[in-house]
Amino acid sequence: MKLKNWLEQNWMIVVISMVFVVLAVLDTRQTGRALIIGGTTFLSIAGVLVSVYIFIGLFSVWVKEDQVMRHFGEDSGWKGMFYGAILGTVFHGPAVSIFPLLKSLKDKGARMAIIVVIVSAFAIKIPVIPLELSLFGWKFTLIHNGLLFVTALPLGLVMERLLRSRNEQKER
Amino acid sequence: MSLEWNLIFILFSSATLAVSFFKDRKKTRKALAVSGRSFLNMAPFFVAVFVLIGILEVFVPSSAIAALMGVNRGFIAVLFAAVAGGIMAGPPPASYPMADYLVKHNASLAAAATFIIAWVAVSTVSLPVEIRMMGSRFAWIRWSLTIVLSVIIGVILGWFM
Repeated sequence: MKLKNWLEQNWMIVVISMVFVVLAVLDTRQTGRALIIGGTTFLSIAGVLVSVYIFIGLFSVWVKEDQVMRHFGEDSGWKGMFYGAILGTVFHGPAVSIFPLLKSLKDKGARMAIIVVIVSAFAIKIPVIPLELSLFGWKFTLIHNGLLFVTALPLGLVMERLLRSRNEQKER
Repeated sequence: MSLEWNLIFILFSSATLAVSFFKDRKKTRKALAVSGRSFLNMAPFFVAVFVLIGILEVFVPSSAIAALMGVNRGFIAVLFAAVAGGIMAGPPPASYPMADYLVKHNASLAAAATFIIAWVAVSTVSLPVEIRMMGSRFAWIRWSLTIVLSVIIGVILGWFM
């Protein structure tokens, strides 16, 4: 089971390594070229990546999750959703890392819309913005993140609606 | 261009780090420990992604990318990007160099945005975990709405750019 979970999360690494080995055997010279290209691509953004991870570290100590979490609950309206959006943007790491927190919020009775807003705002990555800026420029970064932020709230409401209508049917 | 950005952000993050260090040494040390740990955890993914970029660059003709996600493929390109991004698994920062590779090979910017959003937010591989923790209804609704959202945002961004 553990191995299965590991494979699920890391299939990309496994598949790419296998493809790499096969290619290296079939065509060593071209695969060597591929490695050099991959390495150069990495070096061209290495500095930005370092700063992304510095920001991730700084965020984790200066923006405390429980400061934000205090504002959640069944009765918190727009304000709660707004904080949810902020909490989502501050998170980093792959999506798996966010589900335990969502579960604890749900168990504590937070409003469903807030939980969904957190997940959708999760697609905005403030610490990663340097990387996006350097590769895609200002306009792309602004529109991309702006749209994500604006759509997080409606998405939360729609999803709350969908989940609730089902529950009411069950109760009848 | 890229070199300048590297310099700018190294300077910017060092300055932020210095301010943080000045305000609270202990916290800043903790922050650096988190940075290091996060990076090491994600390092295998980064190696994999950059190797993948190299392999694609050498073995896959540019025209293949253009045929799937090219500028003139319009909406189809965005759909392909949503599927490709949705099945990917890895740290969000790794999606950007991959999307950059796509754009350099004539993928549309709409497709690139959709690819990034789908990679970061759809996360098909974590569905089992999500179902266990949040219930299958929640997981599937969120999953499908996020795919739709990634497509919509890609299309709108395509109009603006």
